[in-house]
Amino acid sequence: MDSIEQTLCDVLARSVTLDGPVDAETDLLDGLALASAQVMEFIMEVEDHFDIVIEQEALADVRTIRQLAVAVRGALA
Amino acid sequence: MKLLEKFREVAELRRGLGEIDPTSVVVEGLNSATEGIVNGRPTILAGTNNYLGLTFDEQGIAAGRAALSEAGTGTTGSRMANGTYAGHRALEAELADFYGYPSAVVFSTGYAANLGSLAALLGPDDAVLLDADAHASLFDGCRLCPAKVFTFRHNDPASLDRRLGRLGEQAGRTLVVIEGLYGVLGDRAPIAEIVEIKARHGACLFVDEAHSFGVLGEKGLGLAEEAGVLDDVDFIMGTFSKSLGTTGGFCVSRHEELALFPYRSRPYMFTASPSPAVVECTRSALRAIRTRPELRARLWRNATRLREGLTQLGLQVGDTPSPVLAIRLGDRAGALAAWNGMLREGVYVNLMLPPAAPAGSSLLRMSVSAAHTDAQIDEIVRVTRRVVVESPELT
Repeated sequence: MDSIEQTLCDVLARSVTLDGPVDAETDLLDGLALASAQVMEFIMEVEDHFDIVIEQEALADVRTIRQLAVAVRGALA
Repeated sequence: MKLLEKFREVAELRRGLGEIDPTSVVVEGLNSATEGIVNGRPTILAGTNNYLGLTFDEQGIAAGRAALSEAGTGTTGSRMANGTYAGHRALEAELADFYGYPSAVVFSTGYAANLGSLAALLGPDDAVLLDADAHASLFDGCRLCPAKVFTFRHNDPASLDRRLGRLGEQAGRTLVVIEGLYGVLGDRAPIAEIVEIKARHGACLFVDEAHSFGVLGEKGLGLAEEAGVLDDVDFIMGTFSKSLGTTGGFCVSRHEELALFPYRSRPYMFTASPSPAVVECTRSALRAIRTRPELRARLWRNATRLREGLTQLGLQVGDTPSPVLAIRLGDRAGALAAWNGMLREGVYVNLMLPPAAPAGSSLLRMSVSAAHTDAQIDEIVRVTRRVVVESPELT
């Protein structure tokens, strides 16, 4: 995992109660069984942590930490 | 066929809802604005958004009957073609006059009003910041637009402020979108703080008053009126299908450009206009809102009675008085069982399951009407006690 992916895992662990380990390829919805409201809260935490805003369109197909990291890099660019 | 494979998942989800599918309730008949026949038995309707109880208003029914006789059953055309009758224009003028704004635009449904207004407003150089708990029609409206779409935490002015700040110069071309009264939990937006923030960043504010028009404010104009910020809000949307008891929707604004919305709004153009009977029933209901404040007083009296009754049962039903009350339940199965139990006892409420319910919760949603009798309110409380409170596994 790169530093952004590691940071996202840390933010996720702070945002929601996790039952198991998380890596860059863990499916947030199916793998962690997060409700969409929990995912939305996690995204808000990520935005605040990086001081960014992420377009909804960039989040549409995000299922994993790795995919979210791509959206974060896009917002940071 | 591969094209149809997606429906397997839907069918499985539907099977999981059990014997009585909450998405397939049939109201077999109506005894009044607040009582229907469901599964062959009289049922108190406590999940309808019929806030002022105007669906059986005698003046409204007479106006609708007259319109049917005089103008027929439908317009068979778009507002942009043959579907604008004098009644449509009169309704728009009356809505504009009620707000003291230069104009109003009427749409065929509340859903179309949100889609059509956002589609007209937002272009490729614009951005929109939506409350995360905003209604699906607002999210869908944003999908129709080429604008950049972002969200902020529900009812959190600081979250909005931070995000507008991050948008920099883009904030000056950003539309902030909120609801006045949120229709699931019945909570109000902190609109005065949001108005201050959007003004400081040079953004515009769009308020969906679907659940608050006719309900909040001295005149019934909604949360913006109640909070004293009508002159600061840029666009207000409302629906006819709640306090007005018909179908349709509208957008009003202090900005004269609103009159040009129809030319940039496909949901306005490419659908038939509201039927003449609907228009005249709506005009009658609007007159009732303007001239019969006792309806609103009765609604709030009933809302207070239900809230007190549920609170005395030890249930948490939100922080502020509201005609919409929600009881959070433990999980999906418990909520489904409670909803079924209430219906079997003769009370229809709304079942809200994730993702439709906010914060991942499962809940029973109740909405109060001015037309509910004291006996009906008390029966709703009694059934709630019997089904929810006396079944501790549900909460």
